[in-house]
Amino acid sequence: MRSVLALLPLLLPACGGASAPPVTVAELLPAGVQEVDPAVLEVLEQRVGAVNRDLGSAAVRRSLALALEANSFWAEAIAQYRLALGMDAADWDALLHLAGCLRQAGDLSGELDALERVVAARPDDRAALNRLAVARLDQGNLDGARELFRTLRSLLPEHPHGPLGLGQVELEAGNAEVALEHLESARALGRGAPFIDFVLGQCLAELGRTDEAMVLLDRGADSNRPQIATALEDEKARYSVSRADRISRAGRLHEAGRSAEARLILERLREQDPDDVPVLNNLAAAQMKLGRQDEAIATLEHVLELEPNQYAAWFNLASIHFDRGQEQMSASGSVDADLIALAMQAADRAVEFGGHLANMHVMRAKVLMLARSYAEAVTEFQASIRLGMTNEDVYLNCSKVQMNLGDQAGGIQTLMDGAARNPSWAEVRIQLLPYWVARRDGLAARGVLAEIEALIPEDPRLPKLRDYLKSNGL
Amino acid sequence: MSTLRLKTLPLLLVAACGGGESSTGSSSSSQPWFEDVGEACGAAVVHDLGRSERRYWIPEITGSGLGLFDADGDGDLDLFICQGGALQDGDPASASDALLLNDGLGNFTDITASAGIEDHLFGMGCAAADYDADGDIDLFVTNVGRNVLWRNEGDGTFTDATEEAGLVDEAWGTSAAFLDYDGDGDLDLFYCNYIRWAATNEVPCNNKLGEPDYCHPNNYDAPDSDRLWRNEGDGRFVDASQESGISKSFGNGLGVAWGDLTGDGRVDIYVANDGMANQLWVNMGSGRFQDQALAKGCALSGEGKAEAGMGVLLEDLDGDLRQDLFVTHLRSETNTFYRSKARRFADDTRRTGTVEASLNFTAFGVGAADFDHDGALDYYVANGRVGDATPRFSEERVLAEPDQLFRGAGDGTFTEVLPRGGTREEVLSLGRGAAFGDLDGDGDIDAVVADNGGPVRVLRNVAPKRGTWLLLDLREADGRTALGARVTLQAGGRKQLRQVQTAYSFCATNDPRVHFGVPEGAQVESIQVEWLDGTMQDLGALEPGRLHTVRRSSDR
Repeated sequence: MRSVLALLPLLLPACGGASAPPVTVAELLPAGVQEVDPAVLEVLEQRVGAVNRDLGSAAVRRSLALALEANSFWAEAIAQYRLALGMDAADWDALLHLAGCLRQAGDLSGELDALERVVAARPDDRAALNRLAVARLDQGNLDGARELFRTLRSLLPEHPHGPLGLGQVELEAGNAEVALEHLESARALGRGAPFIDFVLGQCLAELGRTDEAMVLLDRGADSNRPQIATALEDEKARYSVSRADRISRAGRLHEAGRSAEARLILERLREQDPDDVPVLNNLAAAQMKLGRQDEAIATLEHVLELEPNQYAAWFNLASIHFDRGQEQMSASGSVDADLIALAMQAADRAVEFGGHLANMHVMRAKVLMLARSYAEAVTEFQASIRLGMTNEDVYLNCSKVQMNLGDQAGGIQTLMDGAARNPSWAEVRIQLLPYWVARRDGLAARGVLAEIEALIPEDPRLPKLRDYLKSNGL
Repeated sequence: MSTLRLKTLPLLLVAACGGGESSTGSSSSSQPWFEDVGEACGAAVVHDLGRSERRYWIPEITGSGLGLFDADGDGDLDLFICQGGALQDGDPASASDALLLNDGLGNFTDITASAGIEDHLFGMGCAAADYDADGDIDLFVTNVGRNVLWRNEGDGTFTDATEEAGLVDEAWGTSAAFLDYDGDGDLDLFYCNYIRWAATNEVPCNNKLGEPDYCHPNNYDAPDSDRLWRNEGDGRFVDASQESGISKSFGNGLGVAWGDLTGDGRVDIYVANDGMANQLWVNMGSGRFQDQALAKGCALSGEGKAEAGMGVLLEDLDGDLRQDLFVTHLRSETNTFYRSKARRFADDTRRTGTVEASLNFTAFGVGAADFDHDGALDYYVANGRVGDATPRFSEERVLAEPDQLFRGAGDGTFTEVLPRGGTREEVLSLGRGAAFGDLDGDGDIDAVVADNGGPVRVLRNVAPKRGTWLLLDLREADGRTALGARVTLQAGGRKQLRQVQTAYSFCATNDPRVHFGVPEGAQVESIQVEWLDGTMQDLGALEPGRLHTVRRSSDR
């Protein structure tokens, strides 16, 4: 059996001397680990080499700890941070990162103790103050957390961390009205940070303002607390080099619209392993975004040689042919039959192998629309909705096609399903308004309008929508 | 198996029945609370995945569960154990799910074959109740693939009534619950579905070390909707998922509990989802449900995160006579305590004193009971990882973890009992389903824990007691278990709230009887029942130290 406690003997030598013993990568890694990502291994070997060349350097030892932390070796990083601190007890940055690792390892009292020491030594360290305040909040020390969040608010008056924390403290203390003031202030400073929306949503729900709360809670779900970077974050980021980290970094870049940078990372990963399917799929996505469609097709065809049932690759292939078809349609009003056939074939395969996924059906629906097979397209849209589709456009498109085919009731039902599916969707609600007006149901129409106003209060269409109801006597 | 131990076990139990209720005065941490008697009591069943070599397919690491129910109508709890199974054509057959009869003293005999309940599908969980109102307890088993309804024929045998009942479903079912959601007097069925999975949909995943490992369910991007089946009263069920609104919402469903969570007198359903927001299906009446988990504060953690929900409890853990929710989670997440407040729930985990203790473990099955009879609910969690991580507890079984036991103070705070799991020594396993009930008739609550790929553990309660007990077997006028009824017992001036419920934990069905601990020196002052339809009944001050069967009068 092995546990965090088993590390204690490793820590003891650091207590007595000014330097720590030499180390090897094999000794560093957890017992039983057979295989480590080569890029991670390389970084660790570099850092270990540096440590062994300068056994008395706390900064070099700290860098090794950072490299371990960056690759989620929490217990091992803790040991190295402690060795570094044994050489330089005043390295508050190292102690701050040690606190983070202790938290990851589940040692919350150790984390709290480390943070208290950092803040005692550096009372203006914003990152440490924020983390300590959150740690105190986590431990239920509301007075202690309140004090630090107040300090933070005065140190960073233009940032949301102080009022956000104060709002959480007051909410926890049962003072929802007071919390609301802090959280509204945090929201004004937070520039749309979804985490603040979530906490504000909790507060509004506590106050019984459920409709307003729902929108914020939905928007803020699964977001991250705004953090304050430490002085070592950049160095730590340089050590985060595992294949998984690099793919995820590429994904984040791609999502942020930086597909060219994502492509470069993925190209390098492909050089290391040309048959790595997740890398190839991600690379194709980046190539598509960058307009390198022929390269993307070649990449996807290679994926399908390796794994013919890769529905994601079929989906992307269908998407490329579909986009080309749409371009032809815009330019000439018609689409080559060959292009439709290619798109259809890929979409068929996407549904064949990935029919359990809503997106596959949407892609096939889009291709069917291109092929003017509208009734079949509705069937595919509906299949995607049954499978939990979370894209509002699908509901809108499906409804529109249904109505164009003369199925008014079906179209309305699709819109209603969309409104029920997601309380944050404004467009389906806008499309539903004429239905309630036609039924002369003022209560429902005004209710939907109120929801729209809460969802998109700044939308320029709102005055017209209000007039629309008024002009119909509702 | 030791014959000697088998012979001596009943004697020990009889001794416990006679006078084991007084406090020993010893520290709880110095004496074990549970003794693993799995093999000795005849429950030597090893969870069989069908293949020894893991393919890193997600079902391998998710199952399985088990259940305690009275299969032969003799008044004690028999044991049903789900087994793994083939996941694609050509896979070797696994051992069958197993049914073991209890002799009333906690000794078990395997009657799977004679009961006709042999099944080699990949079992996940079960729910037990008398769905056809014929006086015996039937069993519904969820599988990766076709679920099975076993009708109890009342003669020691079961018949596969799945098709006859119209319950055919090929999804991946997990936790299940019988409940009367429409108030028509018969038992409807709800179960969670996990993901839309098939061997052909598997995706390769690697852990942080770059090694092949099990995927997170969200890697499949294929959450399923849960199912609600309405009992037609004639042995048939109709799929009410669509009309009720249940099918509108998707999640990686693993755990379920139900009760009146909104105080409107109607039955609501709570579902724990793995890596997605949980659902609180609020019963709107007329057979319609609406997911209000987000508004009610029990969809996400207090930090707004969708956590890896596995097992669920619906219990009054803080003694304020309101039922709270408790959800078990993955390593690096806490097990989350949603405290019931006036309007909604709030994540109050940080006030339970358990944050640090739960962060390093992946918890599945969970049960709350007053294991030491001090008048406060304790809880037990079955732990076991779903992917490799460091530090490991065992190099032989790298995913193994110890279970955990927490002693309640009655105010929503808990202290971990050491050694972990409350046994004399820590036991490392891949804990999954855990079921709770009085197996040996001695008035305290025992536990049975399923171990993914390992032997089932029967944990006999040997905790040093700080008081006595009282068990209530509440029945409707027609003799069926009064599922959903709530009981408030007052002893020593303090009230305790329980609900008649079998569906909680992870993929488990549990003892339907209501158990109370009565602290030493306290007298039972009153017991009040709130039947499912809201009718109140005062039972007076029943005598502690025994089981009371109470049948609701039919002239209400």
